[in-house]
Amino acid sequence: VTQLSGHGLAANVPRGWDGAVYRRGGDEPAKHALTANKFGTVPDATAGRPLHYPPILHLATFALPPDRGDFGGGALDQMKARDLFVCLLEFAPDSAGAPLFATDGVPWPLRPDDFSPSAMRVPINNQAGCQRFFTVGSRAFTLYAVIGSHSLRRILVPRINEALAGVQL
Amino acid sequence: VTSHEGERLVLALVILMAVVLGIVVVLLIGLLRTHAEVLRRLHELGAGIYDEAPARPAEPASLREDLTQRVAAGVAPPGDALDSVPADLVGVDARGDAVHVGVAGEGRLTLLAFLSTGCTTCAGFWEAFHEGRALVLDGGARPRVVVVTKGPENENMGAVGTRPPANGVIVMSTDAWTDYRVPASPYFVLVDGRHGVIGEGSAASFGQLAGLLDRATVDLGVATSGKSGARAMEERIDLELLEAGITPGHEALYQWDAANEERAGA
Repeated sequence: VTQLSGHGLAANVPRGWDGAVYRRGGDEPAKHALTANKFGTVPDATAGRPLHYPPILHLATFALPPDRGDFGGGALDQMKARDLFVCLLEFAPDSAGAPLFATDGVPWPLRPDDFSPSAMRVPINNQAGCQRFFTVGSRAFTLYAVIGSHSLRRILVPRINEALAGVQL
Repeated sequence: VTSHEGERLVLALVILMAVVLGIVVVLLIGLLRTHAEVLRRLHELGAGIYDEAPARPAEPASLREDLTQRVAAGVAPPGDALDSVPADLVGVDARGDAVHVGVAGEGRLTLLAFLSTGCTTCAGFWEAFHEGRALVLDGGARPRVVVVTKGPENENMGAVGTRPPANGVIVMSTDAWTDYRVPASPYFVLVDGRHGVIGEGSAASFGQLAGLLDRATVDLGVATSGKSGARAMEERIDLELLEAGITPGHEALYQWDAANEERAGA
């Protein structure tokens, strides 16, 4: 287990896992900072206010490609049946009061039945996802976790929970 | 001749023979010493004729020792990483963001390319990885390429970011250089997630690197192209059982239904 930290996020990365903590830079195209506009909780640049570039934590049991989306786009299609992917994304501070983030405290441990193929942002084979929005203190987050096989959820979800137990916000 | 004269003659002959014998002994000793000196010189030259058969080298205690004994003259022996347990890489990327690259684990095959921006020989490798030139090992396996530079305290971050590998990642970590005991750059370490470090060494060109990797996998007989048939079948059966909800220790694995009972009885 190795400690990985940055941008206010930290995680104990299990041996053999990939992990990254990053924030898109100001020179990135605005579409990458999006999360923002998509949920309507963060002002966009056209209103004359700066875009929010969210801190993001990725954990995966497989090789994370360097050119991947914030929610694993371009990476999830490389998952095998027993692979796991975890994304934790922090929203702008003024999101904390929004109803979407009403859940107080971290949502883990997750249950196997929390995972569903229909929760995948983009359905891929037999993969299953789980997304939760929550607030810790004055910080708003979303957790998006994916398992490689919905059929194996009772085996895979405990491993996701082990990894999440090492996350510090 | 009187008996007196005869005695004197015999005495003279004995003395003469003693002198001759003494001279012969001196000559013989000198000859033997010369012979010994010749043999000693020949032995020093490796052509001793009375030496026993050359001693067999001791059985290598490790893979690294074995390779070190077989390495050709003029080629740097492998470093100390062989036989070691694979260590995951922890550092930052070219933007300074924290990154952790898993190397250990079933099915992982990783090529760690230890490069620096200041070394002339490294330039060709930066270019090749940036262009995405494929590294395909004997058997068809394609290792994941991880370019490892020293940490930001010892490396030019700006320069590192200008040539990112097209199909790999960059980790800036001085600790990784220490963990894998990298002697200099460029240096390459091939890591199998299950076997550990299976090959390492330096190369002057991308083509030479490909040959180096092929030899590493072929010499060691590491199946990089896939699992053995038995292993693959075992994994497939495990997966099917798991998908059916039958986990290790599940009671269904130990049930012996009536039909089977009858068959066993018959």
